[in-house]
Parts: sequence; C-alpha cells; structure tokens
Amino acid sequence: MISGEDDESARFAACESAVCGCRPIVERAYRELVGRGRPDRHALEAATVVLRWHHPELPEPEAVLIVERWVAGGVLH
Amino acid sequence: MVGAERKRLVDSPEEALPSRLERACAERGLKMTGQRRVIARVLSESADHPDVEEVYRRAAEIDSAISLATVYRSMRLFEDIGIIQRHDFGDGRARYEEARGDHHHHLIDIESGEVVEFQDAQLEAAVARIARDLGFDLIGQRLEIFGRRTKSKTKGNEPT
Repeated sequence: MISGEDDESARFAACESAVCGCRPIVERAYRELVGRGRPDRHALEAATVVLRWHHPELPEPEAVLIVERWVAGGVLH
Repeated sequence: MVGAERKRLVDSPEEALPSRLERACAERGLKMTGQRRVIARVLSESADHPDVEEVYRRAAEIDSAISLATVYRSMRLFEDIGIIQRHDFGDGRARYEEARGDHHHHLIDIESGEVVEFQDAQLEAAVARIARDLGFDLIGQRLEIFGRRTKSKTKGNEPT
C-alpha cells in the first residue's frame, strides 16, 4: 500500500524529472518576472500558475511549496 | 552623474530644481528631508542600476553626514511607494532604478517561461472605467496574462 506521503514524493519526483522538463520553464518565468521588478511574491504566484498548467493534478499549496523550493534563495518569507 | 553637475548639487542642493523623484515623492505626500532629497537626486540622475552601497557612496559625496542606514530606510520607503524599482540581475545584489513612467503588464509563455512586456492604452482605459463605474478611484492594478504561442501553419496546410 502506498501512503499519502509516498504518493506526494512520487509527484515531486515526476515534476523534477527530465521527462517532464517543466522545472526550467517555471524557474525562467520566476526569474524573468523578478528581473523586471515584480515583487518576489507576485513572481512566485505566477510561476505557480505555470507549474500547475503543466501539472494540474497538483493542489495549489503543494505547487507553491515546489516552486518555493525550486527558486529557493529568491523568495522572502 | 558628471562632475560639474555633482559640484552644482554640492554647492546648492536646496536651490537646484526638484528631480523627477523629488516631484514624485511630493505628489505622494512624502515629507522630504534634506538627506532624502539628496538620495532621490542620486537615484534620479543615475543612468545605471546602483545597489544600496553604491547609492550610499554617491550620496555621501554630496552630504557626508548621510549614513548607510538612512540610505537603506529611504530606498525601502521609495520602493514601498512605487517610485523606484528593485531588480535582481542574478549577482545576488538588489539593484535599483527610478520606476518607469510607462505602465506595462506581463504576458507569460507557459510553454517556455518567457515573459513578454506589453502596454495597451485601451486596457488602461477599460480598467480606469471599471473602477470609476464601481465608484472607486483607481490606485493600482496587477495583471498577468498566461498563454502559449499560436502554432504556425505548416506548409502543407497553407492555402494555395
């Protein structure tokens, strides 16, 4: 039996896999928005929209966590 | 900033015409102390994207009493009221420039992550009208469009 935690980990792994390839797209959207002067929080929200288009199965809170982890260092809490 | 211009500021900082940033501060009701005025002037006259330390260095050449903490506080204030923009060019240092007068929005390509800036006078007019019709004065707006590039037609599908 696969626990909820294992299932979540599997989804994280899928997002980051080379097969999917959405990570550089999400990171680029975030980086370009911040580079154009958008606040970190706005860029994070927009990058999350991009991630969820590629992975509509991800719930919003989970998608936010993934994007925060990908762009770690650029997001202020 | 050229030498002669800087010398003019040093000689008579209060007599010089207000910089664009000083005027923007005044329009937003921000109280302008002498040191804030110097910092605003340095930013207004910078053609590059200085970081806080560089702004401090330039401001201190005009008024040696300015502290780095004052520069930090003033720039945070300027950023909060939207008259300067912070940029991250990937070198780990926040750099600043005067906020552009032209209002623009962003379109984000969800297939590549590319961000495209655009302006649209009709959109601005529509937003202002919506706020007005709802009984509000428009203070600000935030719009991000997400899309993907339209696929171009292949040669085989082109009309003959």
